[in-house]
Amino acid sequence: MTDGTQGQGPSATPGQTPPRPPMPPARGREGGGDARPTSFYVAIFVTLLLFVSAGLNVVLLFVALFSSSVGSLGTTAGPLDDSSYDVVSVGGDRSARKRVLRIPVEGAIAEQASPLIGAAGGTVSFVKRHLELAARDSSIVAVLLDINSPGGGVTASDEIHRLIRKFDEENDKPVVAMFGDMAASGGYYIAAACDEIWARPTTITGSIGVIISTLNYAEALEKIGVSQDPILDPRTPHKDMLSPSKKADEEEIAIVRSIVSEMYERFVEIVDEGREQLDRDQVIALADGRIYSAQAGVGQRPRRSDSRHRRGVRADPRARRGRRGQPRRVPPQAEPRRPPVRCRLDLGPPGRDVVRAGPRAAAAQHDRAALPLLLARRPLTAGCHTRPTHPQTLPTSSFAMQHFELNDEQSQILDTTRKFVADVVEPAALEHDEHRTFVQGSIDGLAELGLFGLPIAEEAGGFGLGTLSLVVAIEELAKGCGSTARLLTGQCVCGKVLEGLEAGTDALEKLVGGEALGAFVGLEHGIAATADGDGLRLDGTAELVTGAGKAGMLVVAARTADGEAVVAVVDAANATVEDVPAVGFHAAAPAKVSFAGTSAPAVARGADAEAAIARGETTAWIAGAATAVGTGFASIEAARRHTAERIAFGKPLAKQQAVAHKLVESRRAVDAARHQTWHAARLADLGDAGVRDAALHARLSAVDAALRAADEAIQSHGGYGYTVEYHVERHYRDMQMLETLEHGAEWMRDALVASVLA
Amino acid sequence: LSEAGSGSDAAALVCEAKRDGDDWVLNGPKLWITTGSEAGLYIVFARTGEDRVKGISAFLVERQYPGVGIGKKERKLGIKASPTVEVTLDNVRVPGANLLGEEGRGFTIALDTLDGGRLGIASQALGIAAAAIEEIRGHLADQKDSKGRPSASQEAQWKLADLAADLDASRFLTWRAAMLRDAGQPCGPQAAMAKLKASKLANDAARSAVRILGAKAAAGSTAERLLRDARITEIYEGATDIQRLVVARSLLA
Repeated sequence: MTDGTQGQGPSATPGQTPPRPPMPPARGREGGGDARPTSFYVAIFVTLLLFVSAGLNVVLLFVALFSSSVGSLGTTAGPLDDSSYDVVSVGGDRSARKRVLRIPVEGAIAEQASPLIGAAGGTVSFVKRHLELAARDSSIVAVLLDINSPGGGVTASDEIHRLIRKFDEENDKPVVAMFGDMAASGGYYIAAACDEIWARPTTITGSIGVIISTLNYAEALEKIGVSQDPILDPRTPHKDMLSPSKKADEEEIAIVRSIVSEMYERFVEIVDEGREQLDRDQVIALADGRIYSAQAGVGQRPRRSDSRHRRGVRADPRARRGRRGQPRRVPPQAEPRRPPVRCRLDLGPPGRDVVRAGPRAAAAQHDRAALPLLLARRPLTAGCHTRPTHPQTLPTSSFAMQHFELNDEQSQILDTTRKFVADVVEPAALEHDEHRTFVQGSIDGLAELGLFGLPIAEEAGGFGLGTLSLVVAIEELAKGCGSTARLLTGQCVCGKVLEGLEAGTDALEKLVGGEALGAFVGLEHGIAATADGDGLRLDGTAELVTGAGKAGMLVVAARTADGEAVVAVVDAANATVEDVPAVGFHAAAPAKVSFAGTSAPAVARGADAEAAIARGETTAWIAGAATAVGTGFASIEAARRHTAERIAFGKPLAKQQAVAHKLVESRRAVDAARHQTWHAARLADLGDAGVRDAALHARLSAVDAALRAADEAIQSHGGYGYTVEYHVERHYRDMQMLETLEHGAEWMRDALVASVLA
Repeated sequence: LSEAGSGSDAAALVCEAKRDGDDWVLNGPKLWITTGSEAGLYIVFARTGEDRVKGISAFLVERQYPGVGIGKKERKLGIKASPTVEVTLDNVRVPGANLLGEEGRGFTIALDTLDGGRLGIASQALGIAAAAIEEIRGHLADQKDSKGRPSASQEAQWKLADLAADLDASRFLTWRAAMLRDAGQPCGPQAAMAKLKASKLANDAARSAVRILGAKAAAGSTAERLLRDARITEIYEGATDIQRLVVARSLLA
């Protein structure tokens, strides 16, 4: 086995960009057992492609220009490195409970960026991430693979093919390929894994084949009297095969051809397997490497729907149809009689012009035809009680709009938390708040439910259920008791700070396991850190930290004199903790925390610490927003109940327009804030860089909305609202306090200035 | 005046006064009685007739009359040093001479009292607002750059300016109503306007104080107390919506 340096020889010649060594072909060989040396692939990677030959790129360019000037060929998607995704609401379903996830596959298919083949890179991980999202999110009922690609690397194409098949096997969600200007070679390869393929009449497809093209300038070198003389071990005579400075001999050509043939065989196998209507011989007849126009392709019918997946259905009609409620119309014999302009394959009522409508509409139409009976889902109820307060008014055309439906895990968390709140949290809330006693019972219950590990990555020992799950739980808790929501926030924020930090592993384990209650002392408190040997000395006072009065562990974010960020885990016994009569969150042990030369080990410094603190802050803002949303809804519900029952001037208060409108406005604002909160949580779960701004937006909106809702709820209650029994004064105080926490509202607006001016 | 079932809709009260010889016998609990547990003398509005408005009369009731009791003490958001209690009247015998004004004039007396009361609450709100504004001013005045110029953020300074302007506006509204009242002229709508604006200002100022002074002010501070105290000014002596009702009616009459 030679090493990479030696193997890169041929490709490091002038004029060629040395590509990074790719992984050996994954298919069927995962887990090792591959006898071929890596250097082999390094040598030939540059040219081992499922690619339409170079001339076609000109065609692609032409088609691309044409499409942009005519504008009738539909949309092009954003760059692949953009982690946002388009979600197409199902046509006609205004509630948007069912969505189609569109995954754009644009340009050359490759995981590594490679200018040589015009690949931006990241295709595999992009598709993978989106398929994972589609698998996770039960509101996504189908996937549209929007392919506009001349092909790409064998390994990348094969890996995507494998991912789609795996997704198809594990999920009852159809994957539909939609061809844009071009879906050739590798582009077709990945489409072969899809349940259905749709093309437009101007699509160029086909190019089923594998090519290794070599560049050879041996003769040119000879003419100018230059020679490259490789020195080889006699046992490795082919080590310099495909060297551009040496003519390939017969034996080497045979070796390469056998590889190409092997790849080709696999390609044929993929197509044969993926398209039921074609037998192997037909596939081979079509797969002579030529390209097809889509119309010719329909004539040839290489892109028939029905994967093995569907064949399974045919064998057992209950399997998939039972879920869909009706069998699909599959009239294969009728197909050729359809006008060729309609490249639609086997779904949907006749007469639709997919070409004019573009891919998104096509997806919507596809769904209208086939998906309306899928997954009758339980609606999410947003209020404290059983009335759904979320109005579900997203327009069907809101692409890239987040849609607020929970997946099964999140629904389960919602149900569990809601029950816990009703049984344990809410009954205790009033008394603990009034007497400023700690909600120990609720905290024990949270630990028992395992909610402390909710958003913490699985690798770090958590449940890996994401920020949105945390948001769901917090919102419910806040409806019953803001203090409990606040304590869960503190625990999870500490966890998120420590997540992934080697030195914080033990502490994180204690937090997740509920062995220690954590409180986060953030940068806003201005704690100063000084290097002290390997550890740190901390100085300063945090005026108000919720949870600190009962916390065993303080996770402290601080800065050294020269501005370096550090994160320290401090045993609360080593700090001076003093309970304070805070305006809100009485039952969450709000306390003042002082450090005076307190020694603590640093669990992170510098960039690691910055990242850890950012993780914590973002989580805190989103969770804070969720606390406000829950509190806002609780206030609205209290006001709704009171005004419906309270009779004044001969009728229920709620019959007064001025009173009813307060409820309307409060709900409007809280609901909007909730959208922002969930949006931020989703961005956090997608690892999107926009999460910071989104979290701050959500936090500001939610606290504003909740304050207003609580204020109006007090007003609607009249004198009763001013007393403790009706909960709304507590909500009001909690929100007033929340507004000052985690840097406060003004700082947050300051923090948003840079991006709004950018 | 207030009862469990009649707050803003004061005329819905049900406490009854029955004539018995020269005396009146009063029955029914009264709610939200500020300083009720400390008072020696009450003015009680009770129903002496069927008519919603003209069936209400006012009585002077002394604390030591048999049957006068103190019920539940409210646990409140603010004004905690001023007890708010329920006063129960259980067959309280009141001499006929204790009838205030004429029989059936009670509600008119109540409304007139409320006009004056609203000026009181408006003034209370002005005081809370002024105190909160002073908290903010003091805090911002401490923030100076190296040349001694104010360096507080614009967000905070602008808020201070708005609050100061609103304070003067509310104060002038209140003074106008007070002057009308001193002149013996009707001042209902003017008093309502004064309370409407001043009580909103008090809450705005107190909230702003907590926000601007930050987390430290959220625990056991003057600003935090003002915040909790301010909230009642929008509720008692006619909630904000009632002030709007009074003003709107006077404009449309």
